[in-house]
Amino acid sequence: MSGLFSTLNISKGAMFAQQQQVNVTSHNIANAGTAGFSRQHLVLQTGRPQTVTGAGQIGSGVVVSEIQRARNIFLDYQIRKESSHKGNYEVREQYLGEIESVFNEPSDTGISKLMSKFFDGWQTLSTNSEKSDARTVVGQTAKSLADEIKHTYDKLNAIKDNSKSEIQQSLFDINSIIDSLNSVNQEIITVTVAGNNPNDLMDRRDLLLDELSTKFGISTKNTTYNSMILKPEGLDNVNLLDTNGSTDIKKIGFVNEINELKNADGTSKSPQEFELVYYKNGDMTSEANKLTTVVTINTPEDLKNLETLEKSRAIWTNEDGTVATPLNLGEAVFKPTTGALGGIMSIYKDTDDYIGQLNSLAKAIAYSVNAIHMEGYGTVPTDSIPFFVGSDNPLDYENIDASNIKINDSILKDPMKIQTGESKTSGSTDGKRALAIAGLRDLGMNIQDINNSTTYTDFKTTVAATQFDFTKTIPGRITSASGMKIEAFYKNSINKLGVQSQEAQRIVKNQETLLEGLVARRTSISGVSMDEEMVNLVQFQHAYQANAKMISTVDELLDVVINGLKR
Amino acid sequence: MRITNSMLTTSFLGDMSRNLTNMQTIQKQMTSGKEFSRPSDNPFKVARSMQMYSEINANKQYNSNIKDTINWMDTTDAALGQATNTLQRIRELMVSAGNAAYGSGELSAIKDEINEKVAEFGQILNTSFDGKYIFGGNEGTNKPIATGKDGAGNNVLDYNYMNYSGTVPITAGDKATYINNINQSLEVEISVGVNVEYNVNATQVLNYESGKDMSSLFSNIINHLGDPTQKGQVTGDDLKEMDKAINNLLSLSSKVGSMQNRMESAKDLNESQNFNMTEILAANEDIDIVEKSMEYATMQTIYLASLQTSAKVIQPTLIEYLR
Repeated sequence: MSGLFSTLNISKGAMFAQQQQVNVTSHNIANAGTAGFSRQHLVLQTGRPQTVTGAGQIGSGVVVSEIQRARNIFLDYQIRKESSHKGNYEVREQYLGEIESVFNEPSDTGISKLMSKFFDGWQTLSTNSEKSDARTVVGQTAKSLADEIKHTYDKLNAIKDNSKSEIQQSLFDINSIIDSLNSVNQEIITVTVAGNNPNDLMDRRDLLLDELSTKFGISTKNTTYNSMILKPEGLDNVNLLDTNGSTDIKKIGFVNEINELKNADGTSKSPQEFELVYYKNGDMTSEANKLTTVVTINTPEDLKNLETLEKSRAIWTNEDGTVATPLNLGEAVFKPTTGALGGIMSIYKDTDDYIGQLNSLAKAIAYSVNAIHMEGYGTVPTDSIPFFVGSDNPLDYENIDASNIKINDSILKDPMKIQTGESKTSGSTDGKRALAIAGLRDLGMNIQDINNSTTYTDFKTTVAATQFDFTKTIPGRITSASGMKIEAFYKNSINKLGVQSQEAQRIVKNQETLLEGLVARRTSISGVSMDEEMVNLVQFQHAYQANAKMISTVDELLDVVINGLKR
Repeated sequence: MRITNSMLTTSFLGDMSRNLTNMQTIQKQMTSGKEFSRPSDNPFKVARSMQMYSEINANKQYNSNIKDTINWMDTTDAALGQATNTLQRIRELMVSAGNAAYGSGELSAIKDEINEKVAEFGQILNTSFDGKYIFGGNEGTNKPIATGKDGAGNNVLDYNYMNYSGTVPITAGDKATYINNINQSLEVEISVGVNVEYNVNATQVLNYESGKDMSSLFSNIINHLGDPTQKGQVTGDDLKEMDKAINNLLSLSSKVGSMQNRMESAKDLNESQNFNMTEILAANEDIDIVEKSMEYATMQTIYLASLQTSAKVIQPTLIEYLR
């Protein structure tokens, strides 16, 4: 049975509802600039109607049903996927740019210019072998070439070290994000169980997920009570989020060192054993977090995983930061392919490649120059000395690479020791050996076959066996048809670097545009529009005023009933 | 599509940073004058530039090699010319010695002049250029020829042997090594993989025929002049031998001459190659200033336009107009 009091009640409820609307609007406006905030709106419902005999159902006003946030979960999914991809290439762009700066090409001071000067020096020496100034020039240009190669090598290694400490920093961040995610998720479950919509908490969780997705690829699935299953992309047995209060979650440890454990006599154990030194949650601030574990290499697969670990440095641990013993490397090693972590890992590998190429270059220069310089001149080392050496020891020419290449000290001290002629007694103006060294510039060699472990003997017997005729007094060229010239080899490395770096820049640009579009769509749905909120506010204000007017009208009616009927 | 305020600012910032990036790129190209400054700007062109630079560098080195060689050969040519003149004079003297009317006084004068000419010949073989004895072969820092006196006080030419082993008197082995070192050709690279021999050495001049050398020819002539019984040989066998020696010198001279021609044409080729490669390099990496200036002006206009528009669009909302 409806009456005036009931109407009064309807208006009262409506006023509350409009107040609530204004409240939500003010929350929206207040958070217009908050990161990750999604616009909220009130869902109103008509109150339960009363059935009146004859007239049918009569409305009982409005009730607030719930507060919803405007959010498109599918867009979130897409944005996270693309952010992972972008994160990967952003890191690559940054590091490849650094590597480009290290090589410093094209320039007047890079390795390529120094190589030119080096060979020019030998050319001049070949016609002026009696002049000490021409000899000094060769010695000094060789020294600056060797120094530059070594310097580049050191810089590349510094980049590798940098990437390692960036991994550590990222892992620390990731673990703290996972911690925050877990606590927010727990709150969400509690609020939802109590029957409310934890809109702002869910916004915060989404923001954290966005951040996490730039680090590595993630996959999410919504479950009951607004809770969530969170796994790294492609890893089904790793849970990062405690979905229901009883899920075992994983953390990521930072592996700082991998040391092989050897027998007392220095030989490898059989099977090989390695000690991993890792830090709980990537937190290196306290030594208390430092833990060690020993892994045994039982299969070739294990060794491969260990090599991956050396690049990724990330290992799945239990929630308390420890790993199981014995450790299953296949499951424990984290091999991210996307995100910033994946990017750093790929950079680690690329840097290794460039170091390898630099080594090949250093070896090609040192070994080929040495071969012509000392073979056939006299007995090594009494009568004939190497030009390049690998250490202060003037006889250490068997294993030269980019890390240790230097010019023989005795040549630097006394340039007259440069061996320019056919033999010791072939005369002071004999420059045939110098001419042959100058000719290396145009000699194709199988530089691609030179790897980090190639020794001088390997070079003589296999790599250069088809290019050099070691039976002649001055090792002569046989053919220059096959193989790569030294300068061309270096140029190819720079070319490859350029292409890689350009690719990274292009993909970052593409991803930026793509993400910009996706984010625009997201803000289109979830973002706060001031104009809209203002319009709403005006609307709600008027609704509020109208309801107030309703109450005053009912008041007047009641006045008629109460004060007007009986005087 | 619903448009929100933050969408406007985000897209404005995105566009603005793209504009600035483009401007930075063009600015860098304008200030450096090059299309690229790092490999990633244009890997293919950078590789090509590096290739051109290393070729141009090598080519410049060849150019200086060729120039040095040309100078060397000019000196050689002049020296050989002088040597021929000297021999011609000796030949004239030899012919005049055949004059039946000449008495011992005249013959002795002829002998004295030939003696001087022999010393002069030795001096010519010791011609030096750029600190090197040009006829010295591999022993360019040591005078190749020593002029000595024999028992009768006549000038004799011999190699200026070096004492490698340090034993006195100088060993036969050392002598052989020295002659072998002298009798070597010097090589220079004048373009990729092209090595040429550019010197004439003392042995080539002295040994005018295999097994015969000029120092013994000179000794013979002088000795025969001093001995009335053998005087006939001066205008006979000795004259024949002298002709052979002169021919040998002439053929060496003509070899040097043709080599000089070859060097001149190698120099021309080298310089035109250098010019071409520099042109290719410039086409590859230098910017077109006019084109870049236009691009830059366009970018500037776009930048200003976007600043102006955004300043007007972003600021006002409905709030400004309520009340």
